[in-house]
Parts: sequence; structure tokens; C-alpha cells
Amino acid sequence: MLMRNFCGLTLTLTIALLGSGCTSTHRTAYVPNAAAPLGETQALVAAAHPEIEADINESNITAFTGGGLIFALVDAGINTSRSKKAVNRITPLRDALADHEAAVEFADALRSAFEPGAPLLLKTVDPIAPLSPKELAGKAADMQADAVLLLSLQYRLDAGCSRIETQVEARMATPKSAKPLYRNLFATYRDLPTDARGDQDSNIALWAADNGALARSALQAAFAELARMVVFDLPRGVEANQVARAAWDASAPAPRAPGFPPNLMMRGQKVSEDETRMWVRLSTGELSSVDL
Amino acid sequence: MLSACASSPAQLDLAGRNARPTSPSPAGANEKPAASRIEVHLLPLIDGRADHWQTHQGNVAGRTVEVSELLTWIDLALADLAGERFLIRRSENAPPGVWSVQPVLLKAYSSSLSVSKTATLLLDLTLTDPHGRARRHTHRGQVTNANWASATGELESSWRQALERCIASIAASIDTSLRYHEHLAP
Repeated sequence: MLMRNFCGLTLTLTIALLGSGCTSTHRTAYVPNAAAPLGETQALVAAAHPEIEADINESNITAFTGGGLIFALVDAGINTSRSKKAVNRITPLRDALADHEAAVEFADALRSAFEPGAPLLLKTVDPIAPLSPKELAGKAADMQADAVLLLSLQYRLDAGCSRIETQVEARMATPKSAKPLYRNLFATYRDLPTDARGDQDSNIALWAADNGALARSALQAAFAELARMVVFDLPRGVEANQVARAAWDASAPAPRAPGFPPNLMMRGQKVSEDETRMWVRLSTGELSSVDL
Repeated sequence: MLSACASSPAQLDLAGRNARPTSPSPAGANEKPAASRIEVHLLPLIDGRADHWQTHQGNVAGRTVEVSELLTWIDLALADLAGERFLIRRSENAPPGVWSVQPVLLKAYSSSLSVSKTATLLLDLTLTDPHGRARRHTHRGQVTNANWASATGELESSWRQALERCIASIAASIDTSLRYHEHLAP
């Protein structure tokens, strides 16, 4: 018990010191085996939470003052207070989206995107609860398919309450092996229309109106785009990694890097563009989509 | 070391001993005697959550949360409901001509944001009057507080507070509906 408390306190302070957790973000290219091509693949979609998440701008006094327990505790207090406000603020939008199931909607988007001719033949696409790596390995081992494609979805309202951020980590492996055949991270950022008053509460009231029509529409578009990004990225083997490592494209915007704190922007290469959206391959291989 | 902390799921036994939340007390100057309070038939709780959320109640700082006998726990709390103007009577089917309430559990999960944790319960309630007119309301019990250790005890405490808020909101809503009905009655 003492050990667990110590672990928890250490975790809390580490988060307070470092800001939000960083994940490894490098792309693993899928290289088809010509001698033994993949047959059917089962896709599993896990949303991190059953409702849209809130976000905050984290206080980081500790970093600016050079560290210390007192400052870490001050940061923890400020961040808890900000979290309470953010969660309460987003509640009207959550109520409006009470019947919305992100994993189910993203699964539908994947079925549409992986139409015949797509780089993989998806046998089934099932929503699941977010599992720990151990639970997931056990579930994958029982599956009757050549490969399992796990898509871990997160979606949140940004701290300023002006846009919806969606992110998916795609990881493909064979049922018997934990080593990924393919892995990448995809993110979309969609600005929402804002209320004339421009404050966070009025913005949320606007998106929650009419049973959350604006937010539902933005989420549907974001999930469809994420599914198209996965289909786009899968057949682009190691060449995509080389593109990512090439010189930065000065004409491409610098999107927020998925998996990193919100103030970290990364440069990359523009890989696709239409009238309203641009896809940028970040220097570490991830794909980010931004409003033009 | 940290991953070892996060890997063991938090198993919450909310329906066990000391399980019942403090029901909002109807006591006060305006409380009606039990005999004059309206009997509201409580129908069995329906699990309206998506299949994949029925065995998993989210996670806090990477620690999976699993609540055993969640429906039983909520059902017990609902059966304890009491308001200024009503008493609850459990019932499998509501006979015609009585007040009845049908609860549906929509969401039940824990989540974390920065160094805080949130427990959320979302219940949908349909209150039907003796004439068969139904009114539907969604009630949210949501509690956010500091996450010190992702410990089972503090998670359980959050869940209990979330249910208390949800139950208080439900009791107030039923009272309001009954008061409104009394005003309309000739």
C-alpha cells in the first residue's frame, strides 16, 4: 500500500513537472511480405473515454523556477482547479452528446474508408473498451485473422474551447506477436464556429444547441478524415519515413504534434491538400490534418 | 516502477459494505407526513451503455477502473430515494394509474485530466404520471478532485460522491414534477 502511494505520488509529481505525458511518435512502415501476403485483418476500435474530453493549459511554475516540491504542489493545485472548471464547462456539450458513441462512429468511418481496393482487407471492425497492453495481447491472440489492426481513439475540446482535436494511434500486429507490423499516429484539428461573445461558455452553448448538431457534424467529419488518413498512410512504406526526414516545407503550416504538450509545434511536409484541409507529414512520420 | 503502478486494475466494490450513499433527506419544515406523500413505482434499472463499456469503467492515470456490481449499487441507491412529496416503491411493472419512474444507465466511468480525476454517472429517467404522460430527464453525477495516488479508496470515494449528486438531482426533479402536477390539479 505504501509502495502504491509512493508510486502514485511520484506519478503525480512527474506529471506536474513534465506536463502531459509524451508518447513515442515514430512511424513503423508496413512492408508487405510478397511471399506470404496478409489475408483478412480484424480491426478493433477503442475510444479512450465514453464522452468528449476536456483540456487545460497546464500550469508549469516548477519548470520556470527550476523545480522543487513546493512548486510542484502549487502546480498540482492550480491544475486540479483548472480541470474542475474545464470539466464543468464542457458538461452541457457532453449532455447534448449523451447518445454519441465515438468508437461506433469511427468504426463506421473505417468500414467506408476500407472499401474494396484499399490496402487491407478488413474482415470485421469492432468497437472495444480501452484495454491495457496485456489485456489487448490476450484478446489479439484469440482472434482468427492474419493480422489485428488496433485503433486507439482520443477526442477532446481544446483548452480554449474553440476547436475539436481528434487523434488515433494505429497499430497492426499478427495475433501471435506483439511486434508491430505497422504503427503510426494521426491527428486532426478542426476549428468550430465561435459565438460572437467569444468566451468559452458561449462557444460551448453554441455547439451544444440543437442536440449538439455542430459538434456532431465536426466529429463525424474528423472521424471520416482520420479513417482516410489511415488508408492513405498504410501502403506508403519506408518512402514516407524518408519524406518525413527531408527538409521542412516552409509553405506547410506547423501543426501541433500529436502526443506532445499543446504548445509544441512541429514542421513537416505537405502531402495532400484540398480546398479546406491540408495533411502534413511531420518529421517523425505522423500525419496531421489542419484547417486551411 | 511507474508502469507497475498503472498496470493493476482498480477493482471497486461499491455495492459491498457501507455501500449505500447518504440519501438526500426530505426532512425539513416542508416535509409532508409519509401518509400524504405520493408513492412512485421504481422500475428495474436498465443498462443503456454500449456493449463495450459494460465491463470497463474507464481509467485514471493509466490505471484501469472496474466496478463490480455497478447496477446493483445504483439500484440500491435509487430504491432509497425519497423526497419531500414522494416515497419510492420498487416494482417490476407499473400498474396503470400510478406514478412510475424508469431509470436507464447511460454512462458510468472514471477519467483523468492532468493531476485530477473525475467520476461520472449519467442516468436517464422517465417519470410517468397516472394519466400516462411521460417526462424524460437526464441526470449527471460528476465529481472532479485531485488524484493523489489513483488508489482504490479515493476512486471509490469519487464514485460515491458522483452517485450522491446524481440521486440528489433525481429526487429534486421528481419533487418538482409532483409540485407542478399538484398546481395543475383542480
